Amino acid sequence: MKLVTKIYLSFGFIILTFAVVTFMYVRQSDNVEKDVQEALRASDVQTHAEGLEKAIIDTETGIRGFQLSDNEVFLQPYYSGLKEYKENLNLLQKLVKDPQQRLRLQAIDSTYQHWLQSFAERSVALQRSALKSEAGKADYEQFLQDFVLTGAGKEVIDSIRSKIKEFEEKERKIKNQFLLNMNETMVFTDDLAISLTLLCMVLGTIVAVVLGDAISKRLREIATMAGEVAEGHFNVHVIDNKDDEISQVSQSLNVMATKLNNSFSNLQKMNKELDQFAYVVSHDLKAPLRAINSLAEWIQEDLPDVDPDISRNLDLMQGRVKRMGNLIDGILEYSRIGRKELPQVTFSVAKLLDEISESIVSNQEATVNIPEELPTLTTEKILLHQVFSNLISNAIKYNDKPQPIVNVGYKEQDAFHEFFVEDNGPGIPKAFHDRIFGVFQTMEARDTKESTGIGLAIVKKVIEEKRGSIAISSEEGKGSRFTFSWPKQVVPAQQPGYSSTLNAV
Amino acid sequence: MSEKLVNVLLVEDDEVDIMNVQRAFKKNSITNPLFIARNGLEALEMLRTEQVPFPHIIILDINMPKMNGLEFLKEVRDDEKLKSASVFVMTTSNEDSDKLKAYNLNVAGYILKPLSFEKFISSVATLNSYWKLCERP
Repeated sequence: MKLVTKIYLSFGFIILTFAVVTFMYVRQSDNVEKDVQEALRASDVQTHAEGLEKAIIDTETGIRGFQLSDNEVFLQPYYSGLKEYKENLNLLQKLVKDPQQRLRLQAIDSTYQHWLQSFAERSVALQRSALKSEAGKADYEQFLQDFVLTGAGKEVIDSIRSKIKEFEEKERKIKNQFLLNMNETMVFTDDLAISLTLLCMVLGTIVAVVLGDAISKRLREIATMAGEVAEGHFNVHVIDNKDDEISQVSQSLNVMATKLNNSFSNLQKMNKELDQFAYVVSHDLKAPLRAINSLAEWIQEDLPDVDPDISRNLDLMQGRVKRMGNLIDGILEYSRIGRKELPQVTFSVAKLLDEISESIVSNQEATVNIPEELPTLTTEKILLHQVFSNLISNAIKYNDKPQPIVNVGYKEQDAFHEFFVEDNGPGIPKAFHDRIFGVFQTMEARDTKESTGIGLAIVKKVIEEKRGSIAISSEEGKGSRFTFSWPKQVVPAQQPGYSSTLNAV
Repeated sequence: MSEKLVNVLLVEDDEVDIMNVQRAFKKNSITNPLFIARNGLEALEMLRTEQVPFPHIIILDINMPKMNGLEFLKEVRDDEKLKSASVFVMTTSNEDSDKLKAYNLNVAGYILKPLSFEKFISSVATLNSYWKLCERP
């Protein structure tokens, strides 16, 4: 599975869980609201049931007052009670939804209606007619006898009151039920929300830790491997069996390392072959040369009176043999640059220059001026020695003045040391400035000045191997100045060929 | 001073180099008996069949056909009878690896063949006075 897919899935799951939490919360709060409304309605029902009871009591009180006092004024509560009863009943009929409660309400109403018709209204009508005429009095007396004194009226009212009480009790239970429901819903919602949130947090943490650990562990492995490659160990591999973006990187890295390893082994093989070649050149090419030289010497020795022409020719032959030897040595030295790891030494450039100028100047009328301020370097001393000795000996060797003067100069730059070697010699025309750094290039015929023309080529190769640069500024008749830079940073000995490839990657 | 002359075994494949040594011996009036082998195998054969009487020293070239100087040296050092031999390497090889290998096989000296014969004569003269100085069992 792709890494991105994994991340998307994990976060998608967490977001989904949160969506569920929110959805549940909204739904549960709807439930709570309903419960609250139901509870409020039940409260209302209770209030109105009380009002109903009070109205019934009022009507009864009104009837009883009128019966006792014969005064119509006492009927006032009866009428207001009737009115209140109607209002409360209407409201209750609207509010009560529970079918059993509705039945109870109906029973209350029908009982009350029965009491009104059979007792209250009759009582009032009979009492009024009794007050108007004697004839009515008997009926009324009879009525009182039948209903009031036997307590039939009171019985009806009591049964109504007990019914209302039952109704109220039920309603209270309903209300409590709703309140209980509400509480449960709220507790459930809280629990759900808390547990889901906790789940999300745990899940998120696990996902983050697992993903982070997996990614960083693998990235660390890749980084370690890249570091190994950078240090020149190409025989390394990252093991990654997953199938995602990181494993693509690992695979590419593995391929890269393998390729590098192959070309590096190839390069090492070629270097070895080149070493072998150099060995062959140094030994096998020089052996016959030495033989020619010896034979020439013996001929000269063995002939008692040599013709001066023959003697001169033999001398020339020996001179050429010597030159051939020098050329072979030069080409060997040139080919060795950069192929051998040389030790890094900390040394004073001033001392190095003293040594060089002493060994070169000793038997010549030349002056080498060395500046006082020179750095102490940590680099391949042998290479810098090669550069300076070639430049200084060239400056003296090709000098046309009776008193050759060589000036060495130094200037510290940010990233490198800058040196120059200057002479008062014949100078080199601009046209030849590029040419003099080539292999076996000389300014004069080899016969005039015995030289191989390899010196400056070696100097240039050494400096470029160290990632420095060399330039000449010279005009004919005004001497020459070779300026070169030597990087400060200690560059580990480079194997030629692959260094540039590595930089390109 | 009755001195017993040291026998010199020259292991060398190049005709001119052999002449070189012979001539240098003559020039320096070195009268030591000179035995010549053209490669390592031949030299081993000569030593083992005692064609070269004791005491002897060996002058050895490195680059030779059939068995080169370093291989010969290894054989000599592994041989109980021959391993005490003094061996001087005289070669054109200026390779550090060759020098290191030779000295690891306990050579008495490593001499580069100079290009000019005159220098070669002086090298041989020095060698001569050196082995004259050395006491032998």
